[in-house]
Amino acid sequence: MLEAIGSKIIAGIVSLSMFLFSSYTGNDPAMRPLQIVIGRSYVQIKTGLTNAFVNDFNDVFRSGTTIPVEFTVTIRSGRTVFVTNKYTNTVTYDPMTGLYTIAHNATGQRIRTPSYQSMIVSVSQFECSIPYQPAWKRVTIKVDAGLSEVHFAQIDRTVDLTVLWKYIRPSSVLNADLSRSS
Amino acid sequence: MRLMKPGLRAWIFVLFGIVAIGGLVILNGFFQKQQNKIESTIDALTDIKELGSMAFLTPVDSIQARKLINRHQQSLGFVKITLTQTRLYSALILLGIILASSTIFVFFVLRLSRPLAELREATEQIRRGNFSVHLPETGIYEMRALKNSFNLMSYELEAVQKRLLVAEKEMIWKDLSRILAHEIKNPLTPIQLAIQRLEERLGTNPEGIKEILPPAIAIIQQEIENFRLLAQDFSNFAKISQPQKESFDPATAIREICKSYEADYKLVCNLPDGFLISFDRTHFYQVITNIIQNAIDASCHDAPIELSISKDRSFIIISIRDQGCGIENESIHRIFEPYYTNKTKGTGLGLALVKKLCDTNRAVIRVKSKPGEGSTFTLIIEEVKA
Repeated sequence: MLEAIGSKIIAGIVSLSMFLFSSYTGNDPAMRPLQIVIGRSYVQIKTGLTNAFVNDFNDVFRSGTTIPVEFTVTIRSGRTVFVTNKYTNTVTYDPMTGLYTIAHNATGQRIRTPSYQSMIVSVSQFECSIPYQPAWKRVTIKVDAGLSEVHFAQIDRTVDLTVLWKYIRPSSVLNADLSRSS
Repeated sequence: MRLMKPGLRAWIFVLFGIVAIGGLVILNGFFQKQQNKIESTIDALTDIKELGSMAFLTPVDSIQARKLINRHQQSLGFVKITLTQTRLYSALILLGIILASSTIFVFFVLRLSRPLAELREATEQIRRGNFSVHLPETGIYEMRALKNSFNLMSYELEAVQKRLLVAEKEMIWKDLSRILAHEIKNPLTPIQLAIQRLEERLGTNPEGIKEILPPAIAIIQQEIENFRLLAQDFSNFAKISQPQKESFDPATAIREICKSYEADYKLVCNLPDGFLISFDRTHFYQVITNIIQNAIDASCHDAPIELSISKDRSFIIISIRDQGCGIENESIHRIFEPYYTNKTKGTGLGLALVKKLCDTNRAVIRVKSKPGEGSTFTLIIEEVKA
């Protein structure tokens, strides 16, 4: 809770300072509303990032280094946390072939494409399935996304990619009655 | 809406805004320009990406080229991220500098202006006559020096005030002693003379004492009565009671007072009925009696004394005019002072009592006079609606 408030305050200060003192637009990432599908033994969650890779990511993706985009799924009821799962979408570019490889570890899906736009669409999407527990009734499902530090091995430099999202950690929350839905 | 004139603090704030914030914004603009130049230079480096599409004839060349391209691409990515970081951090640092400098500035301005507010408040106290106000000598050197000067001034004023009070009390006692001595001495002389005559007759012709005894007793009784009146005058002046105000017609009250004088003096009355004033009846009697007595004392026996009542807006004007000797210009502003008198016989308390009673009853007393022509005392009292 405090972490969320803290990150919101930091993002607010950063946005204010950028608004006042910089013409730099950067990225203002946000999450699409959550969609859930409840099966017999699983809950499928779908969402995606918007405005997350509009500026400055071209050269980062084309560096050839694997760029991870992390998603955290939390299911809770009040203060009781049922599930906290972390998933990662990764993008790896091969400068020799000019192909992007996008891997979704939540679904095990791997896509190869030469199109930058297709790569952006693919890496922005998030989908996962979580085993359903009958005890779940009224729950809050939250998915948030974040970037992390990346090491450029060829030049031996480490950078924090969060700066490209102006320290914003986009999230999407849904209150659902899973017992009724089932 | 009343517009406030900007003070020193407002101007300092404006100056700070222009110099500090303006300067930082200009500096920021310069850095942004430099960052944009770096970015455009980085964009120019993208041509090397075309190397990726070239064919390298040997595997060694291919591996070497792949390494070079990777290195180049990673460098580009790194520089781009660092540039973004620079932009973001410079904006953050700028915001921090402005917030910090504004906070420090406001803190110092308040620290500087608080003693000035204290000084203003203390000066106001001095203006109201409270010379015992002293300030703690704290703050910066100049402020301490200013407060020190202020404190010296207030200590001196306090000392002068105390000396003046002592001197004033001394003067009052001296005046009072002089007046009392004079007033007591006056009746004592006739008493002493009467007793001496009685003693003399007793020694020379005891049978003939009966002839001078009645006039001597009359003189002694008269002078004892004078003593009583003198004591009553002082007593009246010392104990002015809280006014017990009531509404009455001043014309009726003045007519009642005039009855005692009409047999001996010429009083010309123009006293229309129908007005109402709110005044303590006893105080009103004392005021009118004292003014009439003053007019009688200043006039010849057959000179008329005019009494009139009129109305001006919401005020009742009571005038008592005599054709006596009048008051000298240099004395007229002192006639309401206690113990001030130009008469050969009198305590100087009559008109002082009148002034005090008028003040107590929220009335105004004024006097106009021309030496040799007479004086007019005017009493202004707010009318009460029936």
